[in-house]
Amino acid sequence: MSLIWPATEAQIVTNAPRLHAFVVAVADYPHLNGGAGPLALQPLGLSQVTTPRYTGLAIADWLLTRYQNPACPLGSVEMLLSPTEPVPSRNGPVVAEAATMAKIEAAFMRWKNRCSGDPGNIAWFYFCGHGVSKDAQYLLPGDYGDPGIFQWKNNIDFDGLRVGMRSCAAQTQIFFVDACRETPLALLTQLNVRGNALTDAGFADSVNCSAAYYATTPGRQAYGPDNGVTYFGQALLSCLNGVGAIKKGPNWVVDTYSLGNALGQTMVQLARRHRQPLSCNPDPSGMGRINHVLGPRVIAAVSCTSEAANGVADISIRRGATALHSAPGQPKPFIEEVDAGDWTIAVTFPGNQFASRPPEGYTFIPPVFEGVEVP
Amino acid sequence: MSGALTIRFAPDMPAATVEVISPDLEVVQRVMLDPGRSTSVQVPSETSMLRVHLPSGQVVTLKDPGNLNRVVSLAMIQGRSPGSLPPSEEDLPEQSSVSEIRRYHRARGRTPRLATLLPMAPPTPLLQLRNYGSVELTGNAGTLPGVLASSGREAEWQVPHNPQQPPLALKILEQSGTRLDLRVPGDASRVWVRADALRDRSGVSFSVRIATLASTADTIAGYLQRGDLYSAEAMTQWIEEATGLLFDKMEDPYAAAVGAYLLLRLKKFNQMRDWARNLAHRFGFLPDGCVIWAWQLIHQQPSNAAEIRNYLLMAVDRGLPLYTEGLRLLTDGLRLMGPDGQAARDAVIKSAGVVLWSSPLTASLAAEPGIAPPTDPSLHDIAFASEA
Repeated sequence: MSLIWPATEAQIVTNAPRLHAFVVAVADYPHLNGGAGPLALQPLGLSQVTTPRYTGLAIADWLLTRYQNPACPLGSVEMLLSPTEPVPSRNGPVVAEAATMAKIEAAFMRWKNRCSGDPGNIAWFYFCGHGVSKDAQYLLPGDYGDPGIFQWKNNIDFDGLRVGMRSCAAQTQIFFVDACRETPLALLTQLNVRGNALTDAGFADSVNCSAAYYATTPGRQAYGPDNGVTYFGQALLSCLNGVGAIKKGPNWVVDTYSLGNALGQTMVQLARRHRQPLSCNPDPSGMGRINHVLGPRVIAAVSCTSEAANGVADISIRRGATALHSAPGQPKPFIEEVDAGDWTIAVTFPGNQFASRPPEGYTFIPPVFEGVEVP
Repeated sequence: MSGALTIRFAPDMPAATVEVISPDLEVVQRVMLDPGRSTSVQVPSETSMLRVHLPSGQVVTLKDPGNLNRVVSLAMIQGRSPGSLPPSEEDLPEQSSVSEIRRYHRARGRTPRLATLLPMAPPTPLLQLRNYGSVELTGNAGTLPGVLASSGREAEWQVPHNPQQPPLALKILEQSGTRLDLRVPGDASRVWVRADALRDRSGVSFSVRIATLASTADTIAGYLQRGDLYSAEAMTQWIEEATGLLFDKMEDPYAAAVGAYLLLRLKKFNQMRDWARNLAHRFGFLPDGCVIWAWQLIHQQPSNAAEIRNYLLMAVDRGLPLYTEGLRLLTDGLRLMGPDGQAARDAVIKSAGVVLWSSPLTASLAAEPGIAPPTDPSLHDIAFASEA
């Protein structure tokens, strides 16, 4: 079963705007290095990955528990997960089907048809797993590389999918590609690389807002901690929860433009925190509202301006009863996600290597605050 | 206390988007400013803040409570965020990190002439970047002489000002046998290329920066390259103001193309009128005009399939679009043509080779005949020059 929520197809609201999600997370590739099946004739240098399992579950959980949009509430969550396991849902755990090409193709069509039910729908697509890039961005399902069939039969052409989704009536379409975008050397010499776009469209098909957010810039790898949510997934959830929010009238809203701006800045700070070459590539076209939040959040990145001072600085940030602290010797910059607003930052040097400064007030504005100017 | 807040950009500032933010963190207005320009915004409080979205992607918040006449200068931003902007007279160490190279380029963007900065060899057509590779820039009249600097790691060209000339071709032949072909807008004023050994990984970084005669268009291209439509949206003000020169007279077709790509992204089709068609007809060397017009038709007159197909195929005949955005739109448009477009799309893909999709300008990599792809490929970083 790939419908995680609601419990049955019949329970899905189709006569009013809803967000319909399709989440694909692939952490088991039997035909890639380290897999349980016969090795692909061309494994492209790819091995098993752990992050999609955690990321897929985190995205589904966010949709089921945190997503808020009065104009377009959650309508359904369709999910494929390899290896299969129970996915917590509002109606109890549901075992998601494996993310093989055939299952993806079938679930995609169900999802697309559902999304086409109302132009006010939001179509939400999230893929986490292996990806490669050549003339287009390709996404690899769990059974990619089965040596018993044509090498590219089980391969998704994401660029074609995005263009093809113009034939879907949902006028807000949001795609997340949490996968690498490298061109492996083995791919450079392949002449007949093909993928299945899963759908197609013509000139008469149109979409007001088509926004894609890639976990990395073209030609580069995406990263994540072993057995954890990918860095892109972490950044995305932070942004959706308020780091990417802007005030529209009385509401704090994350939209397709503010998300692009916030994701880029958040990934820069995650790169500093984890000392990884992280980047991302927002590619929005057209404006669409995604999520409403109670209040804005900020990624606060606090450090001194020199490495020498960072090594011996004691940094604390305080707002009301909330206080966060990074002692000398702990990693700097000190990066935390906090509420937006007025904060006090104190930087002292217990060893008197530099002159301590009295606490100073700063306003943290979403998405990112970077300071301070000492020493 | 509410009032009118006047914001002025000092002459040293690049064009950029500025947000005016109230004390309760609401974005009161987003405005575009360029050097020397000022604007006035009604604010709910004189403690309102400014946030400047610099072309490089950096965002700087400026607070000056009580002051309703704010002057924003690069020097002030540098003072506000020490370390955020590099000193302008600084060369790179023998091995550098990617972020150091990018910081260096931002400083170089503010240095009008290399000669004042670093010792150079005399101008020559083919420039050898140490033992990393060679580079040449070719225009309609042949290879342009450039100069070497930074102990042979950097090449620079001052391009004669002629915004209506056809695109230039930049070719980097790497020591490994890999060739990078990059198309450069004809309105380029300065082009510089560096080869640097990387400190934090093996391999070489080849970085290219291009400054054009339309620095505001360069800022927009930078926003578009990063997918930052939030900042780019405010720049439509420049398009509105520059309409006469930019689109009616087409003084700079390249800047016009950048403006049109922005409007396409923002789906502000009505503002585009029929400029793109003029671009397509008047500048045959710029396939982007055909692509933009085809996409405008797809949005505004989807039933006019014959004309859409005509312009898409005309673009294919004219060669690869100059801008990567155009190449992406062309291949997407050919997909929408269905089976008829497949052969044309295959031809475009074949002609493009291995595309560097991260580049704002169409760039492709190819191996010299008989040479295997390198096991340790170089890093390529191509961008429009930003001064901050």
